[in-house]
Amino acid sequence: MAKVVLHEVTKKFGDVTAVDRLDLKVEDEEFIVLVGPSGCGKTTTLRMVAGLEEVTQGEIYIGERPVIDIPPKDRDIAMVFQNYALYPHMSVYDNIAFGLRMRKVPNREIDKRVRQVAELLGIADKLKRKPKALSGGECQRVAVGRAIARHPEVFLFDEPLSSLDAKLRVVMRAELQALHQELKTTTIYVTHDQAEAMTLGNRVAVMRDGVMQQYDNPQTVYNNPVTMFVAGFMGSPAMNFFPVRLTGEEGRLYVVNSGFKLKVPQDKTGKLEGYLGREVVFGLRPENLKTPEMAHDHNPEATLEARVRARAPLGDELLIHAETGGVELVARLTPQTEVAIGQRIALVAEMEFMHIFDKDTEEAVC
Amino acid sequence: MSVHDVANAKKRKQRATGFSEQRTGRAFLAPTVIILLALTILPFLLTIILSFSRVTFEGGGIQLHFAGLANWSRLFADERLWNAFSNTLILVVFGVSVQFLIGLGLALLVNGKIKGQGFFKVLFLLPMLLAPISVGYMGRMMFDYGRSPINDFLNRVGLEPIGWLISGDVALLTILLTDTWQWTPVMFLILLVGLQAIPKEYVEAASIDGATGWQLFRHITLPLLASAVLVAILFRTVEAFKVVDIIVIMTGGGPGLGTESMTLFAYIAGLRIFDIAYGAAISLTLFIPVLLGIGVFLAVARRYRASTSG
Ligand SMILES: Nc1ncnc2c1ncn2[C@@H]1O[C@H](COP(=O)(O)OP(=O)(O)OP(=O)(O)O)[C@@H](O)[C@H]1O
Ligand SMILES: [Mg+2]
Repeated sequence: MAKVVLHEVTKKFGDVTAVDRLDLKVEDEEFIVLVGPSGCGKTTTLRMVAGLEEVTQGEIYIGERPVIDIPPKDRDIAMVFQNYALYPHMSVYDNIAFGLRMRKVPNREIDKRVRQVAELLGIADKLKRKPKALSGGECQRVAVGRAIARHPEVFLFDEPLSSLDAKLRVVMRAELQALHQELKTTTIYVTHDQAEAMTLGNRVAVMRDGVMQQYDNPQTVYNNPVTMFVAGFMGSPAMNFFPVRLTGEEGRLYVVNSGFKLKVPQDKTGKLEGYLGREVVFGLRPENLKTPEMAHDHNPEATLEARVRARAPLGDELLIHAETGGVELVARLTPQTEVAIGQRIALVAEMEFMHIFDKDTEEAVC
Repeated sequence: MSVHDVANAKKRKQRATGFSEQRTGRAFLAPTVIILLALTILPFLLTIILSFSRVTFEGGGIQLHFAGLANWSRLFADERLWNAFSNTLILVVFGVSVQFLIGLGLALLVNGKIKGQGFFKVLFLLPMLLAPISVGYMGRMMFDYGRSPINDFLNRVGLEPIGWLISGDVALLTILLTDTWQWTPVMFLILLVGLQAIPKEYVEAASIDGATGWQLFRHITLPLLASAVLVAILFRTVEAFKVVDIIVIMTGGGPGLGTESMTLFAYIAGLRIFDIAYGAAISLTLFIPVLLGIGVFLAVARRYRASTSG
């Protein structure tokens, strides 16, 4: 096993900067997830670590070794491609064995390892098949099998679950987690699915337009996003954002717009003093908006009124889309809540979970 | 009606729709099939009939008289047939293999990371765009004994000029060279398209797996290129068996009969000497080895593909 370090790595395709001075440190045995919207440079980053893409500037270390000038085969990494890239003309067995054969591993050892891996992944009865005759989930397992049979220092995964259906994706996620528990191989995992990132990663790196926005454990990224982008990207439905003015009365702070006036908790006021009287962005997640019954709270200084525009009952929860002060919001309510479209309802904002962002820099203030 | 009856009725109905759909399908195909038959099978049958006939031209029309195996027994005793056949076979076997290897090499080169890909692509394809007649004339000029640039060059570096088109030992080789110059581009094109259709992930995955140069080619590129290889070789082989145009222009089949191909032989016998029936028999003898060759090749190719793909 080995740690992986990217130091000020930049990749340009002509005029396009796909990755911009990226710093990323993956500890030994860590499982980290690179997440971000389409085109933010995740694949490019992974391919640079693999050696499939040249680095325009910066340095990459695997273990203690700088690897920029080392070809992919000598980097001791294994990669699982988005579309698996199983060799179509080889059987499952040969697909898994290929890397070992190329490395001149003795035949008996190859056979042992292929069977071990197949056992581990539950594909032992499929070894003679060609990839064509496999289901998506089986292909995915073979691709993983091909990667782990070689016992590499580092695993690189590029959206390996994106072509599976939702149910299977959840199953495979759990399997990948279990696999990492067992093998402890350092892993960089790319996805654009924030839920996948939250469940899989020891740490999550959120990227946007080639720039890393935040790199921390999933809870911190979720609870303390450092930018509006991260706040909006992590979590589904996304965080609500309201343009507000920060006002002060008798030593107390309020966020105010045409639809509401909510009191800022005492412990947050310190960081906000500089913004007094200014326009800022107030953020609150859908689960932090509740009906008074749910919240056991009728405090008028934490309550806003909204008109319901749409409702989405999801079985275990009820999402409502509503409007207040000209801004759309989403609230996640208990399924028992009775609301009708067009109705005005009161929502209690759990202000201890509020976020304030600078309107211009979009960075978190608190 | 019992459940059983319902199921049966359903089955009947399915069968009925299946049948009518099939009939509609056939109706749509019919015109194509009829035209194809008229254009290929009829002339072919006519050729067969001709080869068993004696042809006379009395009163302005053509009369066919049944002649049994007369044309055929004469043909197989004709040394000129075996000469033409061996010439053709040499041109096919060496021509196609050399063209394949060069074409593959060029395709790999252009498909790799070289600068000016587009330029080389056009450059390599140029000969293919020329009419065979002009290639023939070019060949004749290039390889002329007295005035050609090639012999002039040999002369200047102090070598004996070569009788490219007039020496019995060399003429067939000269034809082979010219043919290769013209037709390597077809191989190149088919193989290049085949190469570019191989998703680059396979090669990338294999290079991470540790495969290098030759291993990559042997274990990944070549098996994935199999279909293109098949098409290229098949296409060129069939064409090569029919080689005639550049021979007519460059040597006229000479010196002596040194470069006479099957098609040229059939042409001379049938349309110059005007023994149509004999010409028909000759062209049929060309047809049989082509068919056999293709059959063998396809069988081998199929076995190879079965062993490499699912
Ligand atoms: N070979 C290339 N040539 C030119 N531009 C490229 C190339 N590869 C990627 N890019 C550009 O670099 C940027 C990042 O691409 P990348 O594939 O890394 O995105 P991604 O985060 O993996 O997106 P996705 O989630 O859609 O896979 C994009 O703007 C893309 O258009
Ligand atoms: Mg990608």
